[in-house]
Amino acid sequence: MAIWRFDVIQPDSLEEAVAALARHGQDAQLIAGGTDLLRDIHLGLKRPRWVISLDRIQALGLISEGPDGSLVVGSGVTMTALGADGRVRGRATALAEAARGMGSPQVRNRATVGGNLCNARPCADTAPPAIACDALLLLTGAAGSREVSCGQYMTGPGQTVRKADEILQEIRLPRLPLHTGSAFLSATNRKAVEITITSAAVRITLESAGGPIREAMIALGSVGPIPLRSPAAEAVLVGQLPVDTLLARAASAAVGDSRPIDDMRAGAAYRKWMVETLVARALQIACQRAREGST
Amino acid sequence: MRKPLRLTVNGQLHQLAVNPYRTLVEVLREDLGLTGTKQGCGEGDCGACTVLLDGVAVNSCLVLAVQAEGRQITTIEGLARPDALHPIQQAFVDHGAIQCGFCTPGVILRVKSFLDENPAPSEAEVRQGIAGNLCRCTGYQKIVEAVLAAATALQPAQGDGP
Repeated sequence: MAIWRFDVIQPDSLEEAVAALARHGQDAQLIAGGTDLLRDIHLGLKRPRWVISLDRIQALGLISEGPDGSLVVGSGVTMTALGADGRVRGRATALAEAARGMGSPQVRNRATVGGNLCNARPCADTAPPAIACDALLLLTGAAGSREVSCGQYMTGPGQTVRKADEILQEIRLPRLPLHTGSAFLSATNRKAVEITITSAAVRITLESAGGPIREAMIALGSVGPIPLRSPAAEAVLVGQLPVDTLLARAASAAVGDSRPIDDMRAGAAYRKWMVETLVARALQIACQRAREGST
Repeated sequence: MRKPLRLTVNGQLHQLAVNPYRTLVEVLREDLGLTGTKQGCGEGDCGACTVLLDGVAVNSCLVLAVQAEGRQITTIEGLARPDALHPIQQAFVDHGAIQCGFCTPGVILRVKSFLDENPAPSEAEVRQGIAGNLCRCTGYQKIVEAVLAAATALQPAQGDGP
């Protein structure tokens, strides 16, 4: 394996990082935890001339409460920190569950939520729960900052709306209404160090503890070029009481909104079965959490 | 263009100049001669290159050396006391949890951080805890037994409290 030589820039602030990115543009790659980029360089899949490391920008590694009641997760927060933070669990249980299941302990200690979202693989485990929990992404570039809804962020495998000079700064998790519950489930060949075959993240908000469903968000991973919402399943659920037969009908409707392909990990037909199974189970867990009042 | 780099490895400060594209495992092995840390897959799958970075287990093949500037690193060479193996190392010897030995330094460092976080784990927790370390001599059963024994050995003696 030939060694690929690149230079590393380690800015101390986001402004310096944006300036470096604007200067080197297409020849530069951002690095946070490095668990994707250094692997890709090792395998010869990426050949950056410049690598801009975000490791010295300490604010990116923090989780804090925003003035509007949202929880602000820095893009450099590791999977370990995301999965262990009680405030994240309270706001977006599904996202914490996805973080806790990813890779291995060593990978989770380095891999960041921002890296997972920006690499935009169809199997990225944090994307479906972030979408289901209404996450907003703050992008900062030379022209200033803008917010993008997580559901609008990915445009194709490895493709996002992030511009060449922009850095994903924060993931903002809004405070969700009372009687909201979420859950994330995934199917993998092994229990660890795996690429997800199919994942389902659901978020349910009930009118009251024993009441009908007011809002339903269902996002699927690894069954399309980007994480997919299931409008058909959501339409089945809204306005109805969350009984098992209804949840099963919604799960069945979600299959029609998935667009899986055959690959080395699983066939498209198996992935469709997994959509039905995982959505049904995740809905039951999320509804239970919504009744109990946790998110 | 080389960059200056200060690393504290096993308690000793090193001042180096390294090419920025080099990984932490390369610098530990090639510049500092600490060849106990193994490079396996280079992709974060096998865990053979596991070291502790400020006490946290990481794959040192997926960390740029310059990202470790100013930080504390523990490698397998830093675990034993001058007169005795670390209790985790001793448990691995006692339980035959080592075959070819290539995975062993990474496994033991991961176990060190795991037992620091969870001093009295269940067998299932041990298996999850070492999920990022592959052993191709197929020795997980003995490794798990060694970790459970090490956890017991590391427990503070009963009845010593006030």
